[in-house]
Amino acid sequence: MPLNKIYKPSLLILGLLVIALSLSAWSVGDYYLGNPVYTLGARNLAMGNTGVYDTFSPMTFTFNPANVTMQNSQIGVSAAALFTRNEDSRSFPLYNSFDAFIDDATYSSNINMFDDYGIAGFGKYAYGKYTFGLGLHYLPVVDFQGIYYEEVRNNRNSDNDGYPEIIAINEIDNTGAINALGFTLGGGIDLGKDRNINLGITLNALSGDSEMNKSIKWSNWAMQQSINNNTLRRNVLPDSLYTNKSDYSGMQIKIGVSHRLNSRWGFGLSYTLKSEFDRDSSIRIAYGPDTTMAIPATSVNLPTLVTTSEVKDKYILPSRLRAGFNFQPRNIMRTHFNAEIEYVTWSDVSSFFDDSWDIHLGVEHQVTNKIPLRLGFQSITEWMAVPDYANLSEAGLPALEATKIITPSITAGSSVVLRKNLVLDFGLSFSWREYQALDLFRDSYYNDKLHSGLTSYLVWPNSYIYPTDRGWNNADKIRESFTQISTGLTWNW
Amino acid sequence: MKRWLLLLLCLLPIFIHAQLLDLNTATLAEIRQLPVTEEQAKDIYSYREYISFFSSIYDLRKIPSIDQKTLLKLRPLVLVSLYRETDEVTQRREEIMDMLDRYDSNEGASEGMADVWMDYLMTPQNINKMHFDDLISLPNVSAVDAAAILTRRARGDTIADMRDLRNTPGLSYYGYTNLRSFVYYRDPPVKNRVFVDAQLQYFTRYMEEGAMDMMKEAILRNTGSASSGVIAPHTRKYSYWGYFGLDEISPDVLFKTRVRYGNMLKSGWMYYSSKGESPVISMDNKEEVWRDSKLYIGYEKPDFPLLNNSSLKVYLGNYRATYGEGLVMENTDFYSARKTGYGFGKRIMGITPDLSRTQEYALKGAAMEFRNPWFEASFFFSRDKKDAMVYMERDSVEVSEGVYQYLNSTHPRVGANGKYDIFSYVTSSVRFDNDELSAAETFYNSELPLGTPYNIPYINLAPRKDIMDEKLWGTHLQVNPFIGTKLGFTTYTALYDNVNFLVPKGDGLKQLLIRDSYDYTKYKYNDTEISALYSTQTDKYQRDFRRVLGFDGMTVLGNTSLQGEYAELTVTGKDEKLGDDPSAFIMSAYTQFENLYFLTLYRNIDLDFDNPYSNAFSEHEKFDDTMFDKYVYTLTNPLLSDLWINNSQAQPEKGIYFETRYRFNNYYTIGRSYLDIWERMSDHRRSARFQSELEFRPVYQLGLRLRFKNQVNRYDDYADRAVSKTNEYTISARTFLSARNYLEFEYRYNTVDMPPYTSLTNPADIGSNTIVGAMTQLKGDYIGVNYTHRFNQNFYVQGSFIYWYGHGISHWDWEDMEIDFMGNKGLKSWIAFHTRISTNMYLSLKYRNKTYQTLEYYMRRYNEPYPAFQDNYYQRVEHSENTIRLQLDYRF
Repeated sequence: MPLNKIYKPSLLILGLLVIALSLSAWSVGDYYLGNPVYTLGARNLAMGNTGVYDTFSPMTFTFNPANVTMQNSQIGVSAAALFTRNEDSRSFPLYNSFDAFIDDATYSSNINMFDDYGIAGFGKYAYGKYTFGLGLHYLPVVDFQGIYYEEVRNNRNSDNDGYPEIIAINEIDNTGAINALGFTLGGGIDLGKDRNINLGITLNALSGDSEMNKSIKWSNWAMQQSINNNTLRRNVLPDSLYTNKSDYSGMQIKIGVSHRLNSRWGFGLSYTLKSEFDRDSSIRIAYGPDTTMAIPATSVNLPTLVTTSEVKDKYILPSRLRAGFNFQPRNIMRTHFNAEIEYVTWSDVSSFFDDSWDIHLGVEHQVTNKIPLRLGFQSITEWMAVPDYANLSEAGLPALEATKIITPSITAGSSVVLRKNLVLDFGLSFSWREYQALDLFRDSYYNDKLHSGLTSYLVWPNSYIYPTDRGWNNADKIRESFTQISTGLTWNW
Repeated sequence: MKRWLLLLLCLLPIFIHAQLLDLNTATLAEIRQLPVTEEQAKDIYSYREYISFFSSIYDLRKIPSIDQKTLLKLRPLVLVSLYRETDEVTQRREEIMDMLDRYDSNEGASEGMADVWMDYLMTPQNINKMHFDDLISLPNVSAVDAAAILTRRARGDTIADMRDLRNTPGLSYYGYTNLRSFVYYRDPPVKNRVFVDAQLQYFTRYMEEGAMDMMKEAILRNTGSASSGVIAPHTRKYSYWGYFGLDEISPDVLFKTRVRYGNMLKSGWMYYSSKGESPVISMDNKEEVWRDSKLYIGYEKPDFPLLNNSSLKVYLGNYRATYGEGLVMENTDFYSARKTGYGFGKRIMGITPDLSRTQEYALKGAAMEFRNPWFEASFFFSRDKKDAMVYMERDSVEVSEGVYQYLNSTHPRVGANGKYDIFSYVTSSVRFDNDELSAAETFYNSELPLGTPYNIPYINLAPRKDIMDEKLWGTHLQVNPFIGTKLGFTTYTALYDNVNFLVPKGDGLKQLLIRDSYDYTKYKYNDTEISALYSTQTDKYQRDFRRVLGFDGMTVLGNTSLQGEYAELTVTGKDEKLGDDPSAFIMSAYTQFENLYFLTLYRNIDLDFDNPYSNAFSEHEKFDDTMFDKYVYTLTNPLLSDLWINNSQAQPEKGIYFETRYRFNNYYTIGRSYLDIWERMSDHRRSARFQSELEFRPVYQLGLRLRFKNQVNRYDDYADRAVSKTNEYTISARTFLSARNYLEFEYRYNTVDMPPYTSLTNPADIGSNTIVGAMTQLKGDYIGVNYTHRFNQNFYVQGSFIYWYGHGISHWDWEDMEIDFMGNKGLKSWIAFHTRISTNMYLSLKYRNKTYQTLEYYMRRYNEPYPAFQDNYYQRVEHSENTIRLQLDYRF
């Protein structure tokens, strides 16, 4: 069963925060952590996000700090950009409600572009058989960007080549990221011909902010239905705006070791410690009718209700243990093969998440002269947690439902040598995932009878419509795809 | 003195060369001594270390930093010694690389046979000692070819080498080309040593149409009344699909390792977790991993010490047993249409190790096989837990004295003899955990009372994993009186210690399987196939076993081989008496010439010949077209449809099948063509199917193909509503480019004349589907292109693009040796990268996208009454599927 369910009063705060975070990341999926950014290194991305043993780019400090003394050059700087295109298609189950669709028929589809940037550099010095290295980087660790737009329409006219009227616009607009300013220190010992062992440690100073906005705005048409109603003669349909601004600051420690066994094999191991740090959030919820609408002089608008609150809590990034090898066989094409697994201790975040294994594989062939072809694969497991208000405990707390999401990816890329020591890498990744999720905007909100107190609908012409909340018994089906392009310039000397 | 001078003269080049630097052995420090830059020195060293040893000095020019000037400078200072890193195993692997590739990609379809063949490719068998069954078990080697080799050997002749093999009288060129890589003559190409084959597969997939419809089927379809407001039919979770979250990506993961010492000692382990099941890498399912793992250890001795030219095999763990035409014993979970036993429908005779994905009909225990030119004997024993479709009974509580109230929960029903009552074996599309299934059924049972009052308002039949204890023992005895002639006897008995097989007949079956009496009309004549399932408890007998026995034979007469098998399932008759029980019979004749073969096959399988361990020739799998296939929505449990979806048995049919291939000359070939005329035993529906193809190859690089396929169902009764005629025309152009690159275009046009099933032919609007024509013609077409590009011998890319249209027509496509059916209209494209990372390591990565529109299962309600607002009709919707396949092999 992919769904776990738990009631815990102590999780109330977490539940609230999860609601906030449910609006996070390139996708609007309910990620607890936003989208982790594995690397901005284009070569690493093209090779399935591998790099625990890597001698090519300073960007690989993010995988293993021991890479700092393994680099092929003495000094190097790398700058990279990552562009992410997210396509989010939501399908609703067949349901006797306004958004009644079946199976894969898409109810709303959003396509958005996001970008991230980073820079890393290093220097190393060899003293006899000892090597020392220093690295510095500024890279995103978690990205909270996400945009979602959805039109709620009523249920008439669509069978006569007409568009049914828009009742409300639902929007999610999230921005922000947690960035790491990292300092890496490494040391290596040469053990003889093609053999060495390296150790490294990275201290990341994490800081960032996020702003999450979720709104429901009734359309002019819907509000006019309310104003034109003989009983009401005013707008009673309340817009809703939820805003959560958070600041993050903390530390993250990563340690690693890499061992070059011989000219063919290299092994790497890195461990990222669990990071638990402060998050300060201010939440503002505004709820009320749009007062800009013209209403009859004899009527008044209901006042807008605004609540604000401040929440301080701990934000947790789980620990990660990554191990892998690099294999350089004799092949008619110069070949590098990386295979890695990563154990992510999701239980650090919550007891109702299971730990997971991720797989990363990548191969690079120099198919033609100095033009490499890189291919890769990865399978990543992440967790989604959302409160289920249709399923309350005796204490009135919502059950938290956790769903595991597996995201496979294929990757490819290449590079061009622009000048001596200057290389332009580019990588492409395509990922997709399918999962079930609760409705992002609960249906009962559009049951205007609850707002108007009338016995008949204002905005739903067909009487059999019954907008009510859908729980996990009738979850949405989400199909998402990510196309990522990473490009980076690396200068080595 | 002269001799010393001569010797000095001979050694002179060595002295001269002694001062030259050998590029294939020099250290980096030595290379740095040459007049090259530091970068060039590193490049030379790297080239030798990571790309190739130098075969000549001029290979230096392959290094980008070495220009002609540098080469000329280096030429007098260096030499290149002959240096090869390859051992005999690597060399052997290079020789058979293409065939390994082919069997690797064929692994899915061949279900474990590819492993056996790949072993024999790597470590061939001695052709001068192989037995008849050894030879005919190799791919595309016919009995006529095998007899030709044995006849030659019987004359005291020894086959000395490949050329000598070719000169064997009676051996066809086709047989020779297929045989030569599997055998050796005097000395084996590879000495006995430890071989290891390890494989990881990770792939995602979507369920095929039948399984997907079954999983999505709502448990409750009719509510008590339209005004009740019950919305249960539209709740996703009231289907297996929604309850078990099958929307989510859940990969199939397979680990397989085989370790063997030559062909003598063999062992293997395989674990496969399928979509929807617990992932393999999980800390909490160790016990399950062990239980569902396939493993074996075996010993094979080709030269049995006491008897001349005899061989012995002993296997412990999982093994396959295959005899005759697969009527008595061929254990697999996978069905293959038209499995003739020849060509691509080959069987490997006897006992073989099994690491296939077969779970339900896996044999786990011990097996022994003895072979001698005159006599063969096998004995096998298996003890394993099997999945079954089980009768469920509702739990109840005593609410007052003597008054019981039913609960929503159920438990497997136990019969009077203390054993579970079961309906049948079942190979489930997803092997759900028993506890989770039980919870799901309780959930469904809470819903069913909301519907129209049903005869059985709960899930009365449900699959259960590993519920049946099965002990199976069997034997095969065979005499080979003449070369190319064999007579065999096979039998097995499956003992059921803890279950009764119970299958009611007639109305009892109807009421058991169909939820709503309104749908009883869906129980048709051909559903007698279901009522013919085997029972251990009937009015006439009570027993705890199933026994099948049969005889098989083969003989070679000139260039023709005749073979056949007769099998009986013990029901009410006596074991020793033939003809008093349900039986099955297959007989075939195969005649081969250099450029031509004919195959004629006759089969007659009784309706009640229910042998789950058979895997014989037929056009369709068992239960095709029955309510398990057509009327899933009427069933008391949609998962009953798995009895059809994953059935590996042949449908009871009788009919005659002809097949031929004729190569006129270098330009024209009639490809594999066949005509099959058969009658389905359940309802006596007669059908005919014909397929033929002509290839024209004006030049070697270009092949043009025309293919025609025609199938008529119920051809003898045009007054019947069920007559259907399918025509399929295909034209393809294949170009064999340089460097073994390959490009193919294909266009296909189909027509289907059929009775007016309005769900297929009319638009999905309410109210416009009531008028039907007498006959309807559906049309569809398909266009596809395939391309393979080989960058070099270690790396190639394959790609394919297909667009199809077919309103109501299902197209098909061979994709990586597995057939893919494509409904309605859509497009599919895929790209696969195959790279040999090192001598021992291979990686394949494939990505596929299939975007199509398909019929929704709601469409079946056309022209049937529907309650307002409950069962609406919906247009077809688009599906977009992304799948990935990763395979990593390591062999040494």
